[in-house]
Parts: sequence; structure tokens; C-alpha cells
Amino acid sequence: MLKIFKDAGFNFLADLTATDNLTLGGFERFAVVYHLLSHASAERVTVKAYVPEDNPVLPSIELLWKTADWQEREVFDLFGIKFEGHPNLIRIMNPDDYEGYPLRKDYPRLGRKERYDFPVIDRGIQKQKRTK
Amino acid sequence: MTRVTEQQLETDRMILNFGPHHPSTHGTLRIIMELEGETVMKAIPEIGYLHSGFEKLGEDLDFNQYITITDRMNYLSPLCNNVAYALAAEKLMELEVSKRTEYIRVLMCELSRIADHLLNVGMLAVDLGAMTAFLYGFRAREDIYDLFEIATGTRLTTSYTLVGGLMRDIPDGYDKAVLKVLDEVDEIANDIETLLTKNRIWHDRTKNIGIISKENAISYGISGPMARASGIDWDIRVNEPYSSYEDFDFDVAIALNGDVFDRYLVRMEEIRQSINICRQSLDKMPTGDVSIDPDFGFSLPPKDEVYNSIEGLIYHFEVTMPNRGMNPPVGEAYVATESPNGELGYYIVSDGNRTPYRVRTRPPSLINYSIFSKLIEGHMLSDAPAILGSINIIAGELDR
Repeated sequence: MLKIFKDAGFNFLADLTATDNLTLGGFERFAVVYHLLSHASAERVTVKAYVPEDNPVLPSIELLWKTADWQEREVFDLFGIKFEGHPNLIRIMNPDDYEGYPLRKDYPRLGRKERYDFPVIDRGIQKQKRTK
Repeated sequence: MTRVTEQQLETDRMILNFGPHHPSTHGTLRIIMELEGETVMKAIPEIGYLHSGFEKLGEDLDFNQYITITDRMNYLSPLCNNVAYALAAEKLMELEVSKRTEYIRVLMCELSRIADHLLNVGMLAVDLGAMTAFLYGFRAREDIYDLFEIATGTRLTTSYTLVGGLMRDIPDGYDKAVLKVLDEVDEIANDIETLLTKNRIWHDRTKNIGIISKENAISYGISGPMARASGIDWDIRVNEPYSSYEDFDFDVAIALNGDVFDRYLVRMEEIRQSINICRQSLDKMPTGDVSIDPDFGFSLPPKDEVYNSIEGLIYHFEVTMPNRGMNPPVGEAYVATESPNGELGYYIVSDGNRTPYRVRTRPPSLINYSIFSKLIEGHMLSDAPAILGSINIIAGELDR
């Protein structure tokens, strides 16, 4: 679908993002939103791909536009939507061992108390001080 | 006494951690580089150190409150972010602001574009060892920040726009102050160009470094001065004018080689064009109100009405209280604006509540930065600050 648009002159992928339609309503739980731009005619097109909740997988468009590389990683990081065929689909903003997808609507705004679960590093010097 | 025969030296590739600071301290980022001698063979940028969940926060703050968050994204030109967000919200709510508001917004955007470019060129120079140009640029930027302080009350976190207008009008005599600063900036831009443009060392350090071809620029989604340095004739201010940019007469700076030097040239030329636009906007400044009629139901009433009349106070509470607030239509809007770094877009989805359902920033820094690992390959390590500087990464916007 996007390839048709690309062939039709929409040569520039301006933005790639996603929305979580949990309370908004829509065809499926997630929508991946592509904003395309044509440099020749100065027109913009918004394409939405709806992704179901139980199997959030979409084909990657990294081969069409290289810019999709990082933006798909961002969507994967924050929404948990997987892109098939992406060369390097790892988290980009959050650490690799992070659990959960922060921009989903069912993720609490204050986090899941991750900041309290940091491992405490106990060095020898501190122990000596404590024993004194 | 054995003679050392020529043997093949085994060279391992060295792994170098570049960071966690941007060389011109624009925030934290880390690059893992694989070096062979001094040549960079591979670079893996790691970002996310400043990720603070601005987009999640946008779902909890109402439309006017979120403007304060947009300041913190690109903190070198916060006014451009304010304007871009306000435009997106106004498009969503189908509001039309007055001509005077639009002109003041243009003036502020162009002033912050000058400040951003001056700092960028200066930082690029200081990374490559030229301190003087940086000091010149920083001095002029200081004067521009004083102008922001006069108009908005703060230097950095301006929060100048409201949905449907501006926080306050510019004071009397502001045009004289702006014109004085513009003359100074013009001179300082001349000084910087005298120092750098024909400087042999500057040429050696910046020419043919980090070349972006036209095809790559489109494929990687590069926008703004970086795209124009690669020969893409695309400026949102001209091609898709917003906020009355069609009333102004200015040229678009374009260069063809796409290397660091061309990006510098494009930025210097844009400073001159911005000075031109500022002068025009002061000349043609229309009279009128800067916020739309409060009865309309969206924008905040002027402050003296809030303090001095009961209706104004009631109306203020009607807009700001958590159980009242604005009632935007259900829908979505994407607005792209030309920020100093490139296409800055806001995509707002609304479900009719007082807070947006989803706020997405199209960050030019992030998307321009994604080409970095390709640019640095095969260059020397000492070229890394030059390329990084010419991309103009602002970590607050990079990670959001």
C-alpha cells in the first residue's frame, strides 16, 4: 500500500507513529500512522494501519525509507508493535531489560514503580562505615 | 642478536565509547565506535538518556498546560515549539487567530531561528577549535534572549503561545529594540563569515566531510537546513505556508554538496534571510488583539480582565478547572512547521476531553540523527564532532 503511494510521488516519509485506541475506539487496538509528503506537489497523506492486540505485527517499511528504521524501533519500544523484516528491532529509548510499553493506555502514567526496583550496589567501603 | 623480520602486525579494532556527553554539551548521548587506527569503521549511536515521557505526559495535561512541556523539547528555540504546538491545537479546534498574532509568531520564530543558528555555527566552530566565532555568536544570542525576556518574561522556558493566541502582546517600543539587535546580529554574522568562510583550516576541517546525497537525504527523512544543503528545494515556510508566511518575501538558501561546510553556509544565509523577515514583520505589523474572543470558549481571557472583573475570573476558571475545560472536537490534526532543525510536526488526536488523547512530536533532531552512523563511516575520529555539530542534535528533543 505504501509502495503505491511512493510510486505515486509521495517520496518523503515525514513521520511514523502509533496510537493506542483502547478507549477511543477504532477497528483494532493499535493504529500505526504514516504521514507521507510529496515534495513535487506539496501534498500530505496520512495512512493508518490497524493492528490487532493479540498479534501486533506489521511488515517493516525499512526497505522503502531508511528513516523508518529508528521510528519503527521507537514504536516498538513505546507500543510493543513488532515490525517483520526490520534489521535491528531493539528498544531505542528505554533500556533493553525494560518491561512493558509506556505509551499504551493501560500503562500507568507514574510508571510501575520501576525506580524502586533498582539493584542496590553494596561496596566494601560503605559496609565498613555502616559497621562503625 | 636476531634480526627482527618483517612480520605482519596484528591490529585489533578498538572499541571507543564516545560520550556520554555531546561534545558541545547539548545533552547526553553515547556512540559506540569501532576504530581502526583513527578511522571509524562502524558507529552505533545509543540514545534515550534523556527520555522523560513527554508524550505520555501530554495525555495528562490539558492543551494549554502542555505548551510548557514543548519548551523543554528543543530548548534552543522554544518559541518555535510553542508556535508549532499551538498551530496543531488550533487546527484541531478549527480556530482562526488574528493577523497580529500570526505576525508576532513569525517574528518570534525568526528571532529564535537566528539564535539557534548562531549557537549551532558557534558550537561547530568551538568543537573544531575556533573559539572566537563562538564568542561572537554567543554575544548576539544573548541580546536576542534579552528580547525574549522583554516579550515573554523568561529567557528560556518561554511558553509564549496559548491555544488561540499569545500570552501577552509585545510591549510598546519593542520594534526599536528588535531593530537595534538585528543590526548588531547583521554585523556579527559578517564577522563570523569573515572569520570562517575563507579560512583555510575551516575548509580543511569541514569540506567533503559527512556528505549526504540527495537520495539519501530523502530516504532518511532529513529535513530543514540539512536537506537544503543537499540540494533539496524544500522549505515548509515557502511550500506549505503557515502563520502568514506567504506575506513575506525571502529566499530559500540551498547548497549542492551536502557536506558540513555547505550546512554551515546554508545556516549563515538563513540567518540573513531571517533578519530580513523580522524587519518585514515589524514593518507590516497589523494592529489588533492577540487572543481570540474569550466568549468563543477556548482561549484564556486577558490577565487584567481576570484580576479586575468577576466575569473574567469566572471565565478563567471555566477554562482551567479540571472538571470544566475546553471541549475540543473529536478528531486529529498534523501540522508541520519549519523549525531551525527541520520539519517539526505535532500530531494531536483528541477524543473530546480536556486533555489530548495522544500528542506526538515529529522530532527533527531524532530523524536527522539517524543518518549519523552512515555519515561517520570511513571518516577520522576527529571528524565526529564536526558531523555531530552540523546535525545540531538537541537531546531534549532527541529523546523526549
